[in-house]
Amino acid sequence: MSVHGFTSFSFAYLPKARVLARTWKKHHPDWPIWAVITDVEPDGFEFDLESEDFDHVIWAHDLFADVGERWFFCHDVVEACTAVKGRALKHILGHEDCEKLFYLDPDIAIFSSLAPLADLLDGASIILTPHQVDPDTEPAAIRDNEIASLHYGTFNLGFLGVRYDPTTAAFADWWENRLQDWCHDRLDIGVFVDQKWCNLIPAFFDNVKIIRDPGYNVASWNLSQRLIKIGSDGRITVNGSLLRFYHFTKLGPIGDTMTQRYAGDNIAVYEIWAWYRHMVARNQEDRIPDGYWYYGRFDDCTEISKDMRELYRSRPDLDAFPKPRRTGDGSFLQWLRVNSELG
Amino acid sequence: MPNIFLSLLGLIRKPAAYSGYVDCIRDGQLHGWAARKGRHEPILIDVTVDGQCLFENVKADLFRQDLADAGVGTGAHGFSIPIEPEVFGNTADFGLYLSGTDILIAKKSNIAIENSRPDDSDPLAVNTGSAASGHSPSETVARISNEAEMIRPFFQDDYYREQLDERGISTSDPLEHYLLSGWKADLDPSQDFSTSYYLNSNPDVAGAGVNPFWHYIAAGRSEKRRAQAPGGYKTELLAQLEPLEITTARWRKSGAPPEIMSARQLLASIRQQNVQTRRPILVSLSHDNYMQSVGGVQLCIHSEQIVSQQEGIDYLNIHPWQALPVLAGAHAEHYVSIVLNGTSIGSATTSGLLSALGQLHDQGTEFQLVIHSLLGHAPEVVIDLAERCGIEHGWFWLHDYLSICPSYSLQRNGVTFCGAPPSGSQACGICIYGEERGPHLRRMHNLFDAISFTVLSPSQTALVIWQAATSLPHDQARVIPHLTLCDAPPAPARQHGPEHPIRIAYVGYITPQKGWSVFRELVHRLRRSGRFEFHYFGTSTDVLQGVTEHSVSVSANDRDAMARALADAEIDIVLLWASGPETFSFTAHEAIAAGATIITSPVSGNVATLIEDTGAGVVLPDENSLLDFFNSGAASTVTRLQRRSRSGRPMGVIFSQMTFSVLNSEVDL
Repeated sequence: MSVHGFTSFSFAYLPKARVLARTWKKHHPDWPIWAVITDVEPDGFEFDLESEDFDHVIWAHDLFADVGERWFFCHDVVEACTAVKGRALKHILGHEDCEKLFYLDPDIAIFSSLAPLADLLDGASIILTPHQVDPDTEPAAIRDNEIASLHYGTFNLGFLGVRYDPTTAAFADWWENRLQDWCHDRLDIGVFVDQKWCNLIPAFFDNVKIIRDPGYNVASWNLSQRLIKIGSDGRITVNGSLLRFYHFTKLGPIGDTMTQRYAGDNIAVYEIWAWYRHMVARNQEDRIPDGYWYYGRFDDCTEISKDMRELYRSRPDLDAFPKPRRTGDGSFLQWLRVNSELG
Repeated sequence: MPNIFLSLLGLIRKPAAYSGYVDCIRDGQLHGWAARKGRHEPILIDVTVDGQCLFENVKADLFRQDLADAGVGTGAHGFSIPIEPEVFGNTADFGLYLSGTDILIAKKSNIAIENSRPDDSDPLAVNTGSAASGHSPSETVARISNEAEMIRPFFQDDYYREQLDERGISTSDPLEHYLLSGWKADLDPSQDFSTSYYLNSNPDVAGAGVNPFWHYIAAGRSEKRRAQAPGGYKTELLAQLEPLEITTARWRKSGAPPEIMSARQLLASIRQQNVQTRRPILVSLSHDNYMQSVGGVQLCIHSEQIVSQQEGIDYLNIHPWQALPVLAGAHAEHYVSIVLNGTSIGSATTSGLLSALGQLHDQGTEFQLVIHSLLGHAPEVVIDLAERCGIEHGWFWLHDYLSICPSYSLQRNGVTFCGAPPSGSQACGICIYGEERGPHLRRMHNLFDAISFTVLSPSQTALVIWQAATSLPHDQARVIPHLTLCDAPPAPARQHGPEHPIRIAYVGYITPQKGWSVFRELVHRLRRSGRFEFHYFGTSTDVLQGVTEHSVSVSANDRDAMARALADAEIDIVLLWASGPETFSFTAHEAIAAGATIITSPVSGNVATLIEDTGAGVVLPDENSLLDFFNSGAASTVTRLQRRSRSGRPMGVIFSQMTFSVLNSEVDL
């Protein structure tokens, strides 16, 4: 029996997922890592497991073969890549060798051993990391961090740890069920993809452990309360604890802004980000077009807008189009052009 | 997958390469401008209204005087598009995108809808003054007047005029210029406020179209918003940091030396000088041609060569034809260039070199080895050379820390002294030198295993750092300072009395690691006070506005040139703010010899040690303390005392004989 890990991504996130897998393998070469891919290989590119640091791949179209293309059409890329996590979790836990299982977002990198978390799963069934573990004091930080957590979820579902036991089985059934129907970005009704649902975990399930060690899941949303230092002994510490993993959310201007706002003059943070930028660049895949997502466009390459998806999933009568990505006579796109302003 | 802050997705930062603005709807036309920064040619844009692209490929090429006054390209970057305001209303969201892309240049809601009065002959002329307002012209005047009153106490006229000067713009009222157009062109109203950073990091302010400096003073600072990018020059350097393999690739020349000497030709060239005398040969390895490059290490090698010849030993310098920031590849043949007794004799392959020197050895020539730098060399070749030439012992100089890390000044990512942590540590894991360090250290160990070295350090400080960080086997270690200070005749009386501004100097090679970024920051912050003068001594030109340049080149024939120049210019303070430990620092000794006070940081290695030993300066804990030192009057006090006692301070120097300082005492060649 062993510890397994998985992440979920589309091919646009492959460079980041590679960085995660590389750093994961560096610290845990004997933990099998699964890639859950909600995408289809673009022309000229093949996802070759032999040349990757992943040990297994699960294709979302196999995992959701029963619901077909309609289900994918109901989700944008963030919704889809998070919605598959529930079913993937059950699938991997069903592997005879899997005793403990961790999920990590593809934009995370691991900086030291996760063995302490694996040890925690000897006692706990489910472990979670909150976005923040210390209250903010500045009004802007309260707004950016705490109020954001009230909107988007207390726990960051960039991380999840579970062990194979009845509690986790019950959790996995419930989560998979909710994510199949309700993994949407619908803040207007209090739903935010897979993450907001997990506010309910401590209420529904026993044996839940909440990680308050600041070395885990360091990100722009908790930097206001976390000071990173790099010692001459070579250790990177966060409020004195060893840095375990960093969540590099939003590589680019928006991420830079939020990082700068709360890292301030903490140069170590910018060094860590510089390293991550280099690693992602090194793992770039030229054969994947910019912004590529197979389920993001109709088969004639017309972009599928969020409005189109919301219309499709809100109108039961549109089930009449079981292959909504298809274009041409009698297609959903043709229907849209005739019956809406969305086409 | 990132899970929060998605609400920010709609607030995409204006990309730094482009700037623009949506002004207003006036007389049925949507007015605005868009341009690529630093370019004169007009660009094509797409205009969206409430997210829908309504106008594609609009050429922004109308001339506007306000843009020209603000230094935006040629000024011909405006656009006017017929539009029906009643369809959209002033609550619509307008967006400007680079045509055919999703690059957002500007966005604006609550747009002003205006109609010309009968006497308005030029709608754009009116629009020039109220471009950002969303108000009528009279309201705009009132608003700008209010903004001016709030901003005025914080606005730095001189600083702003310097930016206008750089753009060839003149104005009688810099504040008015900033309020009307300067902020839209990313000019800064103060050295403590970055217009572009504030707009880029506060999309709500950018979206509201208000003057960012006014917003900061009125609200932003109390909301703890940042006026400038945090982290100072270090974050700037990190933003530009490139992986080591890219730097190395950029250094590489293509091709080969124009003429490659065969082993036979090389042997003949060396024999011309050596064959009759059969003098011993001291092989010296360095990273470049010490006869052509200027620097402290190069001067050391040149001095060593002169002593060597005086001692009757031929001095054969080998340096890589291809300079590299790392070791050369372990197995690939590479080219080296050879200098014999100060004269370049050509380039050869490493195998050609080994063959030629091996033959000399076979014919009875005795060889010795001194290593000054291994950058661009392959340790494996050095091992082969030693074996082929019968060398069992060598001298290894600690001019830097290359033997313990490819970051030879122990700067993690070029910005922070790392202290040489264990290879494979987390710190090495995020450093651009980290991946290279493991194999680098293995190769160094192989070298030190193969050759018995006496390690020569120019300072005790460097030796302590080195010994703490390495287990490289070595025969013994010695400290041989490159020069020592001695008493000198009293200097001539100073011309400058206590009332003269304090003269602060930066000396030598311009690089952030030697403290140039900190010096530059001091210049920006202090030079308008009238209490300081700033000077640069070295070979660079056009270094920085407000800095007096002194062209000084130190050579083996004129080694006192820098100390003399500093003394002649009556420099009071030399800033030696190295961000990593100096193994020696000629400049520190030159500053002391010139009677100047050194200001340095605790991590400056032998500079800080020298101050402890001589009392010739001040060690300050960090850059904030440095600024306080100058602002608080401490610098004035130090300078006053130093000027009074100056006649007794200047010192002379005695240069070492480098390797011969120990070689003469230990080895009879």
